[in-house]
Amino acid sequence: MSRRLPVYLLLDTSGSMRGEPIEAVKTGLRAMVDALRQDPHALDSVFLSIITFAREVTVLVPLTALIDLQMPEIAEPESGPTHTGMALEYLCRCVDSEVFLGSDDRKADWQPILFLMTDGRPSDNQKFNEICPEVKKRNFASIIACAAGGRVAPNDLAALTSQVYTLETMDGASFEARFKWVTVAIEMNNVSKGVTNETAIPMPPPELTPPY
Amino acid sequence: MNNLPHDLFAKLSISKYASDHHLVDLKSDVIEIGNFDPGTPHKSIVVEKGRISIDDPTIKGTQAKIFRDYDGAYRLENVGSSDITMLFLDGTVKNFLSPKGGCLLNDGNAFLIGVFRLEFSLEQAKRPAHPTTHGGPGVETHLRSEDITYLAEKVVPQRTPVEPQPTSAKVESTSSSIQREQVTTSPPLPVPSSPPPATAPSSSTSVSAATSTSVTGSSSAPPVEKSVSDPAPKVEPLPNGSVGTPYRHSIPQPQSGRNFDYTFSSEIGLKVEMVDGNLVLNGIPSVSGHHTLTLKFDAPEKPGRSVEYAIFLNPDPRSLWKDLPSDPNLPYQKSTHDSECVSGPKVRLVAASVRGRSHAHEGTFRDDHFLISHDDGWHFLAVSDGAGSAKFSRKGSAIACETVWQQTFAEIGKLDQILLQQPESGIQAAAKQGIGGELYRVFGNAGRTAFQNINHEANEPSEDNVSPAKINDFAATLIYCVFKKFKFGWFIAAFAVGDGGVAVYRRERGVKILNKADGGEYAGQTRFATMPHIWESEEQIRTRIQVDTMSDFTAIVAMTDGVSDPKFGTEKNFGDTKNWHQFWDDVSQAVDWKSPAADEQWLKWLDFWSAGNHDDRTIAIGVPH
Repeated sequence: MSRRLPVYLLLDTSGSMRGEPIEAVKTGLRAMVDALRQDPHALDSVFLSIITFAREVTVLVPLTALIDLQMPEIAEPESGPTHTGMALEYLCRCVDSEVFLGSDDRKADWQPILFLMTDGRPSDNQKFNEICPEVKKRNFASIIACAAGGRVAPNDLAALTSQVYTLETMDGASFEARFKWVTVAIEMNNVSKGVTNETAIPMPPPELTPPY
Repeated sequence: MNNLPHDLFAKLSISKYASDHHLVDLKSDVIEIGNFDPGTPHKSIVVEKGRISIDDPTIKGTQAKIFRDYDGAYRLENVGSSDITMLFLDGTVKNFLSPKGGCLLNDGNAFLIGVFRLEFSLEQAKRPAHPTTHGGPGVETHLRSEDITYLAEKVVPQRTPVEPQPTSAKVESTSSSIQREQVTTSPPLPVPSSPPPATAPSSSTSVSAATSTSVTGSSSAPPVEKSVSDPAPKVEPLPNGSVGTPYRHSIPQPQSGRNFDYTFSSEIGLKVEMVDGNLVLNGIPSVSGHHTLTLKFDAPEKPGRSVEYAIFLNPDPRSLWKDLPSDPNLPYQKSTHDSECVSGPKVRLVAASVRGRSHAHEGTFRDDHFLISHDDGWHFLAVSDGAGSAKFSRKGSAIACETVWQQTFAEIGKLDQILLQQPESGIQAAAKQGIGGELYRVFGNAGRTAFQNINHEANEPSEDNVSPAKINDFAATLIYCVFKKFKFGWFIAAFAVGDGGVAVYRRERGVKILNKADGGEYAGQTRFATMPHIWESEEQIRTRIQVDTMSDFTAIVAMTDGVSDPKFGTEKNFGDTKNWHQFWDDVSQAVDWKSPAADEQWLKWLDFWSAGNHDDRTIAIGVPH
């Protein structure tokens, strides 16, 4: 099995999404899937999970190969709160159980990607703020928030990501551009030691025992 | 969901009393209707910038919106009027009052806004489908005045002056001109041609039924699940298929059906067969996209029934890879592939490197590099995998290979001396410490010099058109190996930073891996020779050196992960002799090591197909004569 690129889509279907915002989400979702289906890399590796949230969290599509995906019906939003925090908590559980970190017999997945499509106002603010650091521990290659309905304030989602885009301006190509296969080592970013030319190479070891 | 192909578009016929008549072609995704400039005398209807402004003292501001839904259907949304100023003329007032979401507009629907009567009709597009990914229907963006074509103004008055009261006789059920049964073929997208004729209909009441509309599948249209107004047949989705991959799935069979026949929306390489009393959809799909299978059958006492199935076929990824040239204006030019044969005193060295499909698709460079050489009986193999995300890694991998080659051969003399003194019986215990120290010095210095040279290139670029960069921009892995035959047998030493691998393969005795791959927690994570900490710690350097001695071998192979991933998968599988036998059988069939064209055969072999593995591929091998 080749390496999978898990992509999680969290869709806000709360009351405030009624009308144009949810239509923008549906359009965006289709644009994304259509674009991915024309991307040879994605056809080989992308796995999608679609999760909706309002008062409750619903897994519409568990992590499924792009080539097998059948587009689900997105329920019409009904009035109710936006439990973004709860959705992210659920997401963490999904990632923990679904994203494969590698074994002797199977290569690890690519780092997952998260798309959050919302109008940007978590009702469960406290939980949202608590869970964001947990989400970050899941090592997403990128977390992209797509604001629907033009009501989002960037600060609403600052705890989660700085990448906030307007759904209305996201077409297939711009979605695709967010799917960068992350082949850089995390470590590469973490190593902050200065590049010193003067580092002396250590003295030869007292003994290096070759296995012969 | 009311899916409507996007190559349908809508017209709106607007009339006020009998005195004037307007026909508007709704190209935009959103049209607002209302009195936007009350008090200012203007024509009775003004069409501008996504708005239809109607001069009516009883209303003010936006009264309604017509928007194109994501499923392609048009909806009318009430955004402010009372039910007195807006009326649907076919009795479905209840939908109309829904404040959000709007109600579906069917071909032929008529409604009132203020004193204006509007009729909605659908026509087959004579232009490309409206891009659904642009902004998005139902979204108030990108409105331009040219989105609305003003077709006619002040056309022929109606025959009979009537008050704008229900004249819905013509409207009723002609609306269902979109019939499921009319789904026939998937023609190519309509070519842009002349705009819709600007001739006005002879009377407003005839507009609604003007055109008979047939739905043709559009490749951009979603699978049709229900028609706009036809409640009948439900469409069952079948599992997706992929072009070029055999498809076989039994079709849920209508009970008591007989005399089965079927049609596809177009020829897609599949056929329906009766196998052991079950209907099976079978074949090798040939056309990607959304398709419809119509199964016709006779049910008891109900002949001529049909059921529809939707099937989506993925494109064949192989057909989607592009092969774009890399930018000739960028620094550090590199060929898309490279190969070489070198014959040493005891061993023939063959190497090949190809640009990965993912790089060719983007028109980026091959980032991998290799170097093979020999000197004074020492054979040398190096491969380096430039990080795809680092902009100058193609140069980093080249500097890494070249530097360690020069440094190793410059400093290996002392190690050579010690090894030459060892007897046939094997390396003496007393010599081990000296050998270990020399290995550490030679490999450590070579690697560190490579780091310094790359760092120097980053700070003071050797090419004119490059501005100084960071060493991380040159990130590359490094695997290299030296081996020479002595009295006691072969002495083989290897050094590796990063993934990929180097191994000694012995047909009779199994495989010996000479590196421990630096794999991360996730795919694609590794370490690079451009990371300072690799060279700062004695521990780091020592653990990366592996040595072995042996009487003979079948091959010594170094490869980047572009080859080891598809051919072996995990590190454990890389160490499994069984897989190496398979690998060796595979390459031995493709490459004749003695041939002068071995490197070209090697290149050709590297082009193998493996789903999900499209990185640069580089491999270097040493095979004894």
